Amino acid sequence: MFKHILIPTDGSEVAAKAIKAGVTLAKEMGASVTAYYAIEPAPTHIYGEGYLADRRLVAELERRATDIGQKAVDQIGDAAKAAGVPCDSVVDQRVRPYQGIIDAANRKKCDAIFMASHGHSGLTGIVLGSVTHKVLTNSKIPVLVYR
Amino acid sequence: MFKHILIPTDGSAIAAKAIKAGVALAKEMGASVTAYYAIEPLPARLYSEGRIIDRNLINDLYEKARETAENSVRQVSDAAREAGVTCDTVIDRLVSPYRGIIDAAAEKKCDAVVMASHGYSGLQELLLGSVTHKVLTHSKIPVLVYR
Repeated sequence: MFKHILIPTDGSEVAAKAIKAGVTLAKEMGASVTAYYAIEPAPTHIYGEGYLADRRLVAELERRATDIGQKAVDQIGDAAKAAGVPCDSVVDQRVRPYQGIIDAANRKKCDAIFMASHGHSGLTGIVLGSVTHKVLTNSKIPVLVYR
Repeated sequence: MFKHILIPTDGSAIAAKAIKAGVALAKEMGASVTAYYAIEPLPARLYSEGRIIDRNLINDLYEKARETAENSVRQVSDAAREAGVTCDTVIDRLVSPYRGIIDAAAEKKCDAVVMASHGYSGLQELLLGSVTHKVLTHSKIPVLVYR
């Protein structure tokens, strides 16, 4: 039914559940997968007002963020490979991760998004994560929400 | 991956989209389907303060609601029959449709819910319907949201 599934991740544990399910479903449907991670820029207080004049430290933070993003999408790539599902990945820097998810789905012509109900920011179990909520309200394609 | 999918409907045009997708998904996965409709009680103002003494009118209104409910779930069972998917139906009369959806999924041991992002209450495209939102925040099983 679906041909190309976008699986956004923030590398969190609950995302891992959506990844497992997304890859399983993709395998079952003969779909391919795009893994996505949005790097949120460091908070402006790190740059602004001269708090941090040290450009090297900023560069280091960015390098680490990219590392973490790459590891997060690799997790999906590995799961896909193990399942024999074609998979590519996108890591980009976005002020608004939800917008990055919607854009990546458009760009990659995905026909569904599989994601967790919340990510690292956590929550009380009753609430929907803010990124998931924004994806749900802005996506034109179906969104499967895991918790 | 899914064995038993709950498809709640309020009979709206957008619910029809989720019905079509839910049945197609069930067919592809060899899953069965439960169609669900919640009849909301009449507003209390109709009963209270002696505004409507006419019990016949109230019964009439409920009769109409039941007809709508039956037509709505029939839409699902017709689609399921056509696709060769096993389907049963549940019609509840209760205060909170979202609660009814969650409970019906538990009772029927469903492992996924497929529903529209909003229903009759409508919205400005960008918002998530309130019932869908509450199902998303309370469901323990995955929810596939169509818009």
